Amino acid sequence: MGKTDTVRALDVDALYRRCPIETLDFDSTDQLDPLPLTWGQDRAMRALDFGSRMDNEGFNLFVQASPGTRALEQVRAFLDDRAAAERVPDDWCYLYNFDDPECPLALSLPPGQGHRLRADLQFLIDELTSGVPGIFESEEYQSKLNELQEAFNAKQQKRLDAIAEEAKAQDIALISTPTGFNLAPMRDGEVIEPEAFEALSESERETIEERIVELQGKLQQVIQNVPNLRKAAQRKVRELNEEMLEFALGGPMNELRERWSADAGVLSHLERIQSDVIENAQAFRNEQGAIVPVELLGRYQANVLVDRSGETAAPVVYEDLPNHNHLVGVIEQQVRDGAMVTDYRLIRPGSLHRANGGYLIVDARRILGHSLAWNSLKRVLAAGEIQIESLERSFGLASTTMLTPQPIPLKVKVILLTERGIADLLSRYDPDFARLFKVEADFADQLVRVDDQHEQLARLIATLARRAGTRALTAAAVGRVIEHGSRLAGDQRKLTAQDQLLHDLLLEADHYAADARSEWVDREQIEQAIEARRDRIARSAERALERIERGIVLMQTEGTAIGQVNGLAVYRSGRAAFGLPSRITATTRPGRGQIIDIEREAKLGGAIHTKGVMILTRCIAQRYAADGELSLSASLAFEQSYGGVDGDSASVAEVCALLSSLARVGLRQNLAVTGSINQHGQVQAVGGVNEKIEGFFRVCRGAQTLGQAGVLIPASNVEHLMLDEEVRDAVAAGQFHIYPITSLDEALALMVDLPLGKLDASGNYPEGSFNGRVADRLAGFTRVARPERDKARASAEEESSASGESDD
Amino acid sequence: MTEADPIDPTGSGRLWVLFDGSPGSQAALLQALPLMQALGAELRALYIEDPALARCASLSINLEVGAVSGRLRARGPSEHRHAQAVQRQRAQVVLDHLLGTRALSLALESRPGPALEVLADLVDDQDWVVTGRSGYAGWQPTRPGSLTRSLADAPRSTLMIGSPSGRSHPGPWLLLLDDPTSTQRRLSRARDLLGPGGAELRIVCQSGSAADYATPAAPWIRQRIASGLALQALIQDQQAAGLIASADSALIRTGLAAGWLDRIDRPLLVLPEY
Repeated sequence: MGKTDTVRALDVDALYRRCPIETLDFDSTDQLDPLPLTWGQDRAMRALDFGSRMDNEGFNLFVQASPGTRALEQVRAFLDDRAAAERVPDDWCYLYNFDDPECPLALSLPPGQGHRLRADLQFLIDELTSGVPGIFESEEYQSKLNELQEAFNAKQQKRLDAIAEEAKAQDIALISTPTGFNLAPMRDGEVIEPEAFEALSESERETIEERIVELQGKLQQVIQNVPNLRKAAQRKVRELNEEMLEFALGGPMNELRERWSADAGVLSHLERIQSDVIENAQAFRNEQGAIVPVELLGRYQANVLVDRSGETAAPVVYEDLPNHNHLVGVIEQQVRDGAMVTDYRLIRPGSLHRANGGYLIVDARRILGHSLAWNSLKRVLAAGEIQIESLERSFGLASTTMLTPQPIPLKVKVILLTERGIADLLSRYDPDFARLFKVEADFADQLVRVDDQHEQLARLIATLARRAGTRALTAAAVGRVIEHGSRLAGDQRKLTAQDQLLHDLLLEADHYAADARSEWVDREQIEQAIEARRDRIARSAERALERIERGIVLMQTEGTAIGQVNGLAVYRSGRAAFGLPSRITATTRPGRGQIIDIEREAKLGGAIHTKGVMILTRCIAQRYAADGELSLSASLAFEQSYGGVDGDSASVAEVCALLSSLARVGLRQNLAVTGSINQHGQVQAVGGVNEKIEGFFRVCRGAQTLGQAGVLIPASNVEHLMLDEEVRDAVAAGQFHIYPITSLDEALALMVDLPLGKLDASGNYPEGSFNGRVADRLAGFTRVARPERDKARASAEEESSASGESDD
Repeated sequence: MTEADPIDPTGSGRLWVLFDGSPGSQAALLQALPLMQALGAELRALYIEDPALARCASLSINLEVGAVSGRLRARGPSEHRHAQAVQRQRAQVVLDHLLGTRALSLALESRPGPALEVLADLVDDQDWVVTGRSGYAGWQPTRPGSLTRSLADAPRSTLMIGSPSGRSHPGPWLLLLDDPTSTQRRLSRARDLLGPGGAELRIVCQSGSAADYATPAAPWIRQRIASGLALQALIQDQQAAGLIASADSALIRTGLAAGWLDRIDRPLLVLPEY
């Protein structure tokens, strides 16, 4: 049972923790050294340091941070610093694969050399398109080619002439037509007339025919041998082409070989280029102004995927749009002659390529929002190499030949920025998450605020101001920002770590400073910015207050009422959060120890609220029917509440309302109560205490009932108080009171104008006291309900004796 | 060709182009066209049907060996007539195509009979005969064929052997004189051939000869020509448009027999012997 001594209202100094600006040893933030934004995030920084240095597989990081903490900026700054001391990773490029064109070759080069290779190969291509055709047009080449062609033709002609001579010697003419050769007997140098031929003897005709058949056979041999001769001639032409190309390529190729003598991969590729050029020498002959096919020249280029030219540190890449293509890369296509085609030059890098050898930062919410991106990232991390695969192929929708580029080995540290809820979901439902992201870096939502660190906090504010590009702040302004940071944290000992909020506040204050033509941002502008921001989001709160003032929402802030208390709740609407009183009523009658939570019955109450009602039920039973039965049937309701209720912060108020109803003693309506209660009647801390107090203050001010009005809060919430100046002024003027309570008794002592009464040695409360009245009423309920319970008890005892168990 | 203009001669003489549609005959026709304009001569395209082929086709034992396939196939009188008709038709089509691009038209004249006899009947002293290099037969398209060589041996009128490509080159014509006789007469004849206001003429005298050339009234060059390469070098050095020589020129006879002309992409004018 709690103490019954009346609790003293809090002194005004307890309602707000000022920043001791007299201890700040500067006039403006210009005089302060910057402080890393990671200040106060030691745990997260230790985790980042550990995770970034662990090379083992799966030791990627996931950073948990609330929105607005600017964790990305802090992580990036940390990694930039870390990366500056690390070596610049290699360049990567894709080259044409002469053995398997559909599988482009991946080649790594020392940093900055990819650009050089691309330029060198372009130089080679220029030589091929300008210098090589010149070689083929040269007198030397043309003469040699003519010699070969003439040799081939002469060889054919010679054989034909030989047959013609042989035929002539046998008086047989060899006559050519566009379609072939005819052999015919001659007489006197002319082809014999058919009649004369027929007049010859049979033996003569047979002799002639045999000669002709023999000559036809030889002629056939000559003609049928032409393809072989032509092949041999072509081989010689090819050898000539090779000879000329080797000469033409010799200069530039040797130059390139010398330049890349230390790189076996490049040298090997140069050899393949030379072989390919020779194989396709015909294409470079530039006959009749024909240009070298683009497809052929395209084979000799280098697609530099990652170019580290000019970089001095390992890469730190933040992928703003982490979809599959942006992460893993993509193989683009082009329309060529009406068809979609692709080649190694259309391979585009993803952020994993750019971050290879360094760090990749990805936002979890964004990557999970893109189909397949999360799976693609996991697949790449698990495989340890980047295999570019188009989504079309993944889904079996590729209608044209697709490339399968050689995978690129991956060595990257991925930092996944998550919110706590998302990290919890991934941990629970994705087994790969724990395997691939083993290091957790947890950014605190609040920074510690202690007196001897106000100087550091001032430097932190100064750093924020510099990053925001605002005017310098005076010490008073810094102090106000720190105080507002504590208010945002809802804690006198904390400061919000949501830099974004403070960053925006500084920008807005700077705007007002500009309006005021002030050289500095002073406390006045900070106040102005805070007030303006509050004003912008005050519409919902003002409407709610208006409904109370007009009596649409019933609220009593004076006098007493039985079974009725002013609870306090925090309402959220968009960015606004404000507190307002809510009338809680209770009714009691004899029953079987049931307290009906009307909110729950109406499915408007949350689980925590239900739990709170259950606890307060046991609390009442413990106080007034520890050794007997609680023959009570009661109901609790939040009047005019239509949006649902959750949380247990109203449980003290609900107990007060119930006991008031039982004791038939009125509760003071100029007091509002917040706090949760346990089964022993102890009052426990709740959230939103500042908003709740300010809300009730405004209602009382509107109703002009300030004076004795006040709020009962859990004593453990006192250090969370960072109340508005208007509330503090009212408290200082004795117009408003805030009572820190630790127990139900302290609450009741404040709420009722009746002694509570203490248990005497016999376990009874004094007659006429508040507790006595409650106990009497419950005893009366018990008497009324006894006949029914006796029957139930007898039945239970029979069952108990049969089973050997006892009932308490 | 119906919309093209028929060729209308203004001068004397005729240019007989032996045309069978082969690449060599096409080249010859293309080179005959500027000559026709320079001389104002009448252009005639002559297609000669060799009776030897017809006789050959009538022989009971005749078979043709395919020029490319080497296969034996029958070529009787009906196949021969059909083949002749197709070839003649094709030659006319090619002729129309070549002249049509110049807005000209010309009907192919077809004559049966041995080529030399046909030409002897048709061609007179004022006429020209224009032939191409090898016809359809053979594998050396730059070599003058047997008919051309026969004509060059004893031309009855001026003979022009076309270059393989058919391209006309600007530059002077080179009159080859390998003996000092009849210098002025040959020079005069050459000038007549090139027409009034025609191309420049340069005289090439074979060096190494003790003969004393009468001083010609034209630029002259003394150079020894003992091979096809030397002839080629001379043409390149002079950037010549073509060669002119007498049929009795030893140089030309040797050149035709040894194939010197094969490498030279220039026309050759052969003057009849006087």
